[in-house]
Amino acid sequence: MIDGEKIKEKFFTVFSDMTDFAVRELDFGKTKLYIAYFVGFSSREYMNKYMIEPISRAYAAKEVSVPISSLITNVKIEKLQDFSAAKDAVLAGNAVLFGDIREEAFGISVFTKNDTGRATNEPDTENVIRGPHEGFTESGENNVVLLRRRLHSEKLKRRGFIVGTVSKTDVSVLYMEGIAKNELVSEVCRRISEIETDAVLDSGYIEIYIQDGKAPFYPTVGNSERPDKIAAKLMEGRVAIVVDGSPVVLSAPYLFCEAFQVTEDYAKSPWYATFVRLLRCVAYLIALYLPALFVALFVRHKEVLPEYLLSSVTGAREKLPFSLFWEVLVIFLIFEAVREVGLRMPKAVGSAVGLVGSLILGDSAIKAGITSAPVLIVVALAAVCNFMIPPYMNTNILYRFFMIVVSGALGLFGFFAAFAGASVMLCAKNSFGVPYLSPIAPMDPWGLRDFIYMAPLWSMKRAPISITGKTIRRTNGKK
Amino acid sequence: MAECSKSKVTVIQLFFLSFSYVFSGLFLIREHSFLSLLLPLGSAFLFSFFGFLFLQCAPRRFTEKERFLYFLSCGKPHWTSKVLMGFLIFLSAAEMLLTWLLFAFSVHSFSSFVSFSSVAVLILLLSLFIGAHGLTALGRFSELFVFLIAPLLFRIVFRKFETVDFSAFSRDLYALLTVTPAPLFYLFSMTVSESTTMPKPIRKLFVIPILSFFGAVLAVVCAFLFLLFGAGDKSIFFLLFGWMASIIRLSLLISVCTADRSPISLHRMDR
Repeated sequence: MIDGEKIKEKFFTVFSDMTDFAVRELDFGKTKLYIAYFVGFSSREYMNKYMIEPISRAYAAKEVSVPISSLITNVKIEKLQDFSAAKDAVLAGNAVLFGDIREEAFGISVFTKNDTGRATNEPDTENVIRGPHEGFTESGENNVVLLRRRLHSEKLKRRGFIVGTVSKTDVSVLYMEGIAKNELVSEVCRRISEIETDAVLDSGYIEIYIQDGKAPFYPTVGNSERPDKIAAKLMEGRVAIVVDGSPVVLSAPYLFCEAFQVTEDYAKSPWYATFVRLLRCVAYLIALYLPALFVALFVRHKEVLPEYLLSSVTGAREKLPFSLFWEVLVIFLIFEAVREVGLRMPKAVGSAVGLVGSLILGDSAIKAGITSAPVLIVVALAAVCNFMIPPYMNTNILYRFFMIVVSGALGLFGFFAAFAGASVMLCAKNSFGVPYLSPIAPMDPWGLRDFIYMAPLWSMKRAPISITGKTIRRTNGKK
Repeated sequence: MAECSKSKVTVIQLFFLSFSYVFSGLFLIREHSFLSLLLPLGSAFLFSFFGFLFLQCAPRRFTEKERFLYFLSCGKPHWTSKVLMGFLIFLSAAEMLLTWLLFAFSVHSFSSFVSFSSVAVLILLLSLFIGAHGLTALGRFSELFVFLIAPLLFRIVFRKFETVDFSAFSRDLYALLTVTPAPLFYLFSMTVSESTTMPKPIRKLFVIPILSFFGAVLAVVCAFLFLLFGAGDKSIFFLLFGWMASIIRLSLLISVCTADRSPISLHRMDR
């Protein structure tokens, strides 16, 4: 028989100087049971309700001929074979029962982890007017449940991993069997299992480790706080990665076109959704290329510009101390500084800072003769358009600066060279084996139905072939 | 997961590679004459169209491991294919040098504030950079042409029509010479059909009538572009369109001259 007192001492030795560690002793005459747990991490209510009360009742009624695990109700249990497993179970938030337990095991781990967290609120980053107002939370288990509530299918599979030598974070890989490519699932699992790190504190850590390339410029792993969005991605053959402690669920592969798709589009009229999609595409091009083209033409190729346009811009800049190139660059830097301040400050102050920065500073700068109205318009337009495609916001900022510098130095050819170089890099890029620019390049006419224009939902007969690798029929194409 | 093969192109990509190759030839030496614009355009369209027809027939005529070059040398001494290959590479190398210089002249004439040598070096570096990403990336890059046509059409609508200059016939022959199809012939000859059988709906999608229609639409669009922009137009959209075709041409030539001689696998879809 295992000596409970010795195990208790061993626990206290291992968890020395940890005031939140506790061992509760249950004395039933000849039988002595021990429950090791972390205060607050394990739910006191669960321990009382599902462990202590039923065991105490059984001993009071002298019905202890059955194994003790049979007395524990309504909660998942696991038999532990050694002290190391018991230690890991306690660290994971479980309560470990040991002592005279009448089982062929070292102890029993009872899943009493305190999972009270914040309620499922709508994520601030992905607001919708029409659609579910429910978001993921920091509880990995809860997030999986949110997905299961949307996809009642035995094909929704889940594989579990523990990542981080110190943090021992639970990571779950979810996919739809038969829709997701087997190679994709294996590849995602391989990349996760090969992660060697001490701590995973957010899903962003996993993202950095599993993405294609060492330091990719464009994201190759998607993320969302919306269960409906992730469920839709699972149905398209993607894989979801749920990390315990993070309200952001990852999805792979991630393609360029996904940034232009919003969940709400599918609930709108296809005509309006198409208009919005086109608007996003134009906004993306404006955010990225308009300032660089402006600099290239007004600094290096004035001869190709219409007279009226040239005179209005040069007229507005007559008394300015900077060249147009430096003016654009400096105004962009100021804008980015104001934006960053607005983001980091508390919400109430942040909006005020943004207002002061954008309106008062801009207006004063024109009046003081530091900048011109045309440059401010171009910068503001590009900056505002950048917000329409949130996933590429940071990437676009860097790429835009590069484009402006090259265009300022080499004119239109610099603009073209920067465009061509970046485009080829995107064309060569793959996300988990799927071409990143699909369905544009390689062109997939069927895929374009859900990118630049939006076909009615009932006519999208199959899941994207570039992701699934096979024809997965979703509807019969009739209404 | 391994990166996709560097020698994998789709039928559409091969079409755009061919088209941009021929198209850029006439862009680089374009003259303000109707005939000099029309002849290369016609040859561009015809070559692309027949290339398509060949590609559609190829999967039915050859087995997976057979190539067009093998087909050519059937019943003949084996060295004929090597001689033919060597000749194609030589022509491609000559084309590469010519394209490089013409492209550099084209860029320098527009951006005279940068020295010619700097422009030439930058173009070479850019082409090498693009070529280094492989034929698959180049094929995908050429597909972006479709999205450049939209702003060009937009430009046409808001532009007044200019009269076309019918002089300078002497350059017409030169215009045709620049569209020497050696690299394209090489590309087709190195192409093998895909090994897997495609599902029926996808096969249906890429039959000859649709591709011919697509090619015809593109040719008509280009004819419009040349009629409207050929007469000394300075539209930056047109310039970017031409430069893109030229950089694809140069990168393709570099790929042809430097690539290993392994077959290029042809797919109906890049997956």
